[in-house]
Amino acid sequence: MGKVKSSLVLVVALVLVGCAVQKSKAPQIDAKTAFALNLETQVTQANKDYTTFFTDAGNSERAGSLTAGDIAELNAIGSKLKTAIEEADRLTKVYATNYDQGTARTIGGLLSQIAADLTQLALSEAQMKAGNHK
Amino acid sequence: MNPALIFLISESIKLLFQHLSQRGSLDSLTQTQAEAQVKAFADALPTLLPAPEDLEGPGTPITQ
Repeated sequence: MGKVKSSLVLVVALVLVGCAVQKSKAPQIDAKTAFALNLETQVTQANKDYTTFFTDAGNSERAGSLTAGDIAELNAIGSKLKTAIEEADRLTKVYATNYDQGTARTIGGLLSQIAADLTQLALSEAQMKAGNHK
Repeated sequence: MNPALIFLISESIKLLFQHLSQRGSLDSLTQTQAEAQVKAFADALPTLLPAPEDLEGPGTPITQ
């Protein structure tokens, strides 16, 4: 329990430091543009994470550390994730033309959902691989 | 250590470095360049993503 506590404290500390760094933005760029760039960085990263995850999953299946059943289970989450990222991509293109705050909020909500799906995928995969090695 | 905790810690570290590198790259941009970058990044985003099974490829195990 002591190890769990110290790990959680580390995670919280890292997030807080990240937030502190984020507050100090480049003053020559207006807040609206800096925010847009930040949003796009996160959406772009989501695209990369999705591609990397399922490419690696395919390699793991061929190497024998994931079964066809595991892949089917991961793909079910992946299909939902694909839809969310495509919608985030579409809305980000819209946001880049009008900087509408409502659109930004919707993208933010999608990014939260995407992060949760990616976390679920990573945890599921780790558990599957651990189970397959028994 | 719990795999979930390892994942959370690694994601936090990744986010922290993203913040740091973005701050560094923003410092070198003018307002006009930043606005152009917003448009360029948006244009570079795909319209359609490959399905998970398309990214995974065939499931044939590697033969030794």
